[in-house]
Amino acid sequence: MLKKTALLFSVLLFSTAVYSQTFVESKPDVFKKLSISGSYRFFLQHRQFINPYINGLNSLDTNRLVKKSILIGDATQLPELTLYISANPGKNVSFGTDLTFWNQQTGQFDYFRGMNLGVNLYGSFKTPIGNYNIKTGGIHWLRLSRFTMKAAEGFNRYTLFDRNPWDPQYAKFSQRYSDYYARGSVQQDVRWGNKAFQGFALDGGELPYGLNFTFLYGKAESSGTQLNPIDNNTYQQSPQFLNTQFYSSLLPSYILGGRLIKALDKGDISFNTISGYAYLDSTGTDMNNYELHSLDYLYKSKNLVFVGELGLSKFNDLDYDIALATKFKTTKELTYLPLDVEYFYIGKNVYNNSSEILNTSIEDSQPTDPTQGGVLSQNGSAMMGVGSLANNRTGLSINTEFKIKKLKVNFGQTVSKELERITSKLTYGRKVNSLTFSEFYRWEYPSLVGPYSRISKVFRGIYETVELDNVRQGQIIEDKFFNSVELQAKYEYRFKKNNSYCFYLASFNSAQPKFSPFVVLNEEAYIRHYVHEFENYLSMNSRTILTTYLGVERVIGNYQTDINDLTFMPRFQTTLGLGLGVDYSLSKNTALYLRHRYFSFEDRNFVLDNNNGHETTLEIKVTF
Amino acid sequence: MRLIGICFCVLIAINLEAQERVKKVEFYGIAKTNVLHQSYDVEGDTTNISKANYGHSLIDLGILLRPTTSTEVAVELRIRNELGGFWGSSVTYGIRRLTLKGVVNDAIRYKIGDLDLEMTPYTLYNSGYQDLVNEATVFQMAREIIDYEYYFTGNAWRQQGIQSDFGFELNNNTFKSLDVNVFSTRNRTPDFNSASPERLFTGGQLALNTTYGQLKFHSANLHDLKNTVNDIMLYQNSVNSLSARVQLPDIPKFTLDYEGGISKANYDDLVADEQITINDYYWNLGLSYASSDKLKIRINAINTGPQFRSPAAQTVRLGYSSSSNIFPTIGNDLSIRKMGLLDYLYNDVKYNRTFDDRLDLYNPAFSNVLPYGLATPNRKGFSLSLEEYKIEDKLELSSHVHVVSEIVGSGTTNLKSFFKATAKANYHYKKWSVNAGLTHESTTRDGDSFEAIDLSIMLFDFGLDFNISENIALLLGSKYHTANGNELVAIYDNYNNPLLFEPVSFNDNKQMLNSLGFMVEFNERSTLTASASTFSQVDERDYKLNQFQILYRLNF
Repeated sequence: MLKKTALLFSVLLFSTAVYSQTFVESKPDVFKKLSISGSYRFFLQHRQFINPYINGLNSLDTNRLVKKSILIGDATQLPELTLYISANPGKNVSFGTDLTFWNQQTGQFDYFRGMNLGVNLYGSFKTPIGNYNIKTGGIHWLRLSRFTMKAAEGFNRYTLFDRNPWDPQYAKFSQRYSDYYARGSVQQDVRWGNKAFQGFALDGGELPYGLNFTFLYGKAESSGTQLNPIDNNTYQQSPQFLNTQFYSSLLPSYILGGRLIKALDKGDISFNTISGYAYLDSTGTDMNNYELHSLDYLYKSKNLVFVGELGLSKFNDLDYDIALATKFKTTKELTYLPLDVEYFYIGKNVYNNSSEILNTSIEDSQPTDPTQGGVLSQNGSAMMGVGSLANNRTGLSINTEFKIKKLKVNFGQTVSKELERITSKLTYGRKVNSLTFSEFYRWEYPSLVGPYSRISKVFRGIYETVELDNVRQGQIIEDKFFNSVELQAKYEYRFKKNNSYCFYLASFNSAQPKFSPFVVLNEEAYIRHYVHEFENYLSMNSRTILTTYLGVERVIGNYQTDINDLTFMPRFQTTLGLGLGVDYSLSKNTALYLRHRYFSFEDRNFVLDNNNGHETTLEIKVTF
Repeated sequence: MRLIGICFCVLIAINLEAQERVKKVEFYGIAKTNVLHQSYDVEGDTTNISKANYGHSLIDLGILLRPTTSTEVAVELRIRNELGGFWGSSVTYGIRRLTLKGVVNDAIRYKIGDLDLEMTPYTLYNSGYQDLVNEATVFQMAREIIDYEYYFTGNAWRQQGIQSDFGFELNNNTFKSLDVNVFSTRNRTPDFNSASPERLFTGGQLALNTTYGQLKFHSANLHDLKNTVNDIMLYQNSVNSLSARVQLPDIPKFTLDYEGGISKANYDDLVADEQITINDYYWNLGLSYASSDKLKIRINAINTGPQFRSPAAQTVRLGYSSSSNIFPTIGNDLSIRKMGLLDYLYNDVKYNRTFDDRLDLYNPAFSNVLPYGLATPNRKGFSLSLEEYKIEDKLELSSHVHVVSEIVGSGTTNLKSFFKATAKANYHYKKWSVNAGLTHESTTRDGDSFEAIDLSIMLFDFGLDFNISENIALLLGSKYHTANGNELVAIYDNYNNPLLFEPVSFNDNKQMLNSLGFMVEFNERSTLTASASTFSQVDERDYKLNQFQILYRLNF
């Protein structure tokens, strides 16, 4: 029967004209232009402790990190392979996404997949009353104003040795260092000074009366969502829900913000606003609700710039409080040395984690895990760098710079005071070996850990919390004053006909109960914090740069700070970092970066807080 | 067997020779951001969480790979991140589609992988939604998302398997050609724990094109494969039908169409060693009249047997027994919240992606006359349709009336009588577009109090679009639904026979969904819509929902 059927089928097929039918579905419209770029980054790190770090105490025993550790693949959002895919399907619409892949080469062939910036969609349209651009999805990197949505940019005083050595990677290999010498900063990507945002953003331009605006509805970093862990291998087999499949909580957590700008002949003036709403519990009863509304202005004349912002803010049921930052800048033609002088006053009830203002006075019950909507920032009464803003604080910053032939020097000082006595805690960020130290806790962001439970981790850094003995009869009896001085010197010289660079960065900080016009260098200060960092980038030839680093950091506490139970002495910490490295260009857009660092930390009075060792990293970066 | 092998080799050889080695890659897809903000309001409710905020962005990147001119691989990759998932958390990579298609010897088309299959409303058909009649643009935006996510392309079901079609020129003046379309798909995989065997869905169509019209044979078979588990029960359901469409030469304005067929459901209980077989038939005879492009009228006589079983045509899209994942409970006693019009459009209710052998539960408040479409068993009667009536290209009208009754009584000797009337109107004038639709259904059955049924339902859709400028529009949409009366809904046993009749009643229940939207059209295929909606339900437990949605769809 089967044979007959097959025979009949064959005869029918070949004896009759055969033609094909069309399939039911229509052919999709196709788009041929898809832009793909990206980078590959191999990262290998070897860490060898001489004296391993104690990460906790177990009764009378100490838990130490293992002596030797090898890591392949970075833990800080820098994947092995990043692909940027984008397209402009129409003249006024576009989309883009990044795909990230990395593995730790454990031998198990586990490739992690993810996204850094997410799926971004863009569109624009014109009307008789203005042109509009929208951004949806995200992460988008955006800013409004300093008080509403912006990341601190500071005065570009940092060391390059600790930064990703390939960021950015230029065709002219030494340009990264020459840029820093020339401009005070290396070329920054879109993140610099901006804040991460997801949701819906609308920009309006060329509006009547010279107005422009920005409107934001969505999520800032501080309003992240509680999401379930996802197994990419099996999620498609689970019951499909269009919208809420991956959420562990649907409770709203979002921001609403905006900026209306009026352009003027010599500057602009703008109104800014942001409101944040975030539930803190699964039942929807506890909520953080904050708002900040501000006016900011910019006036420019030939030799003088006035810029500043005045705002009102409140958190939950607290009263409205004032935020003010106003500065003037002069040129050297006017004041011989160019000056940047800022006065700031940030009330204790001012709260906005999306702004430059660090929260040091409001207990917001935010989780410390950034994936749960936490914000990794230093809390308590923070000792900060020059020009940084915190709530419950007022102060004055002065910055200037000058040049003597090839030597460029810039200098800044901030003197500030806490407005109210809220906390008996003081925090300071470690500078030297901070990245190395933060990687002792590689996959987590713990708070108050270490042998004395005083270390907290933030993104690529750590800070330490100090308990002050300034409470009497339940009252804090002393104010807190802060002084910070930063000095930077940059020098360019020639070596074998190639430009080479030497940088020096120093910072001196103190926190004390009385006002002082300069950094307090004696026992009057609760904490004295001194840092010296030297870097040298020697261009051996057009393809090779030899890098060296020396960093020394000292932190000294007085007897009103934590006292060790055994030595009866306060902090006396010394950090030493010694670095040596090579940047070597393998070919166009491909380079090898080798860094070796000897790191050492010692608190002579807290004997368990001692460690030292060697860390070597090898990176190969390819951009395409 | 050998002959089949030879035929296959010949075909492949010819095919390989003819193929041209041209590599080509093309892209298509969709990118989307959907953000929803909802709140829920119930008087005195202090227990349930009353607000929800969620959303996502995704790119479905379709890649067409053409290794040769006669072969194409289509793959759709999905990259999605959730709103609020920072730094790579909650990122998913998925595959939405993977299909190979090609042509053998420029004659036989084949397709393997993900297929969209559709035949007739009685054999293989994904019946439409029951909560719309002529929906406003602002709601169509949301509806298209559901269609897309659940692969609802027209009335097709997304299946996975193989499909082929080809045709023959017959070189005859009367019998012009013969079209063949066959498919075989995998309906489910074996489950050893429950002793559920592998199940296939196979079938096809054979169409004879004549000078008088088309004569078609349709076959749809859902059947278990023996010995794929330790078999306890084997199931097979076959639907075979003939359809014809004849345009009469003498009176070309009239067209006759007919479809009739039989179904046979067989349950082979291997443990008890007995077989249960259910047979029945259906027919549908129609006459349509088209005076011009502006007027089309149609009348149909319908008869679908009470034991007619056609799983691929009798599955409803919406799983009415599911509940929404958003605000799932209501009141301080945490009762299950009844879903409503807003849930069907925006929230995570369960839409059926495929069909199974069971007659689904349906919601008589939305469709009681023909809950399974034309394939609804136990219906006889007629329908009258004004399929299209245009006035000056500004006004388009259409309406459908069904007057049907049961063939056999359900739990009683008395028969239910059904009436359904639908009217739709679209009006376009300068910058304004208005669309409206109304469906009214009534179900009655006389008799004693235990069997008397009197159910009346109504659904009204209204939409108003105003184009502010060439690419900006203001959208208004409204839906209103009422249900009043009672019904006894059949609950089916494992053999799809009515087991019991569950009483349901509606005490002047009302639902209303209003939406105001603002739409920017970036180009023909990309729009941004921001809409605010309110929904109220008057039922045993009254409640209100408010919603704000931002939806950006970018097709490329």
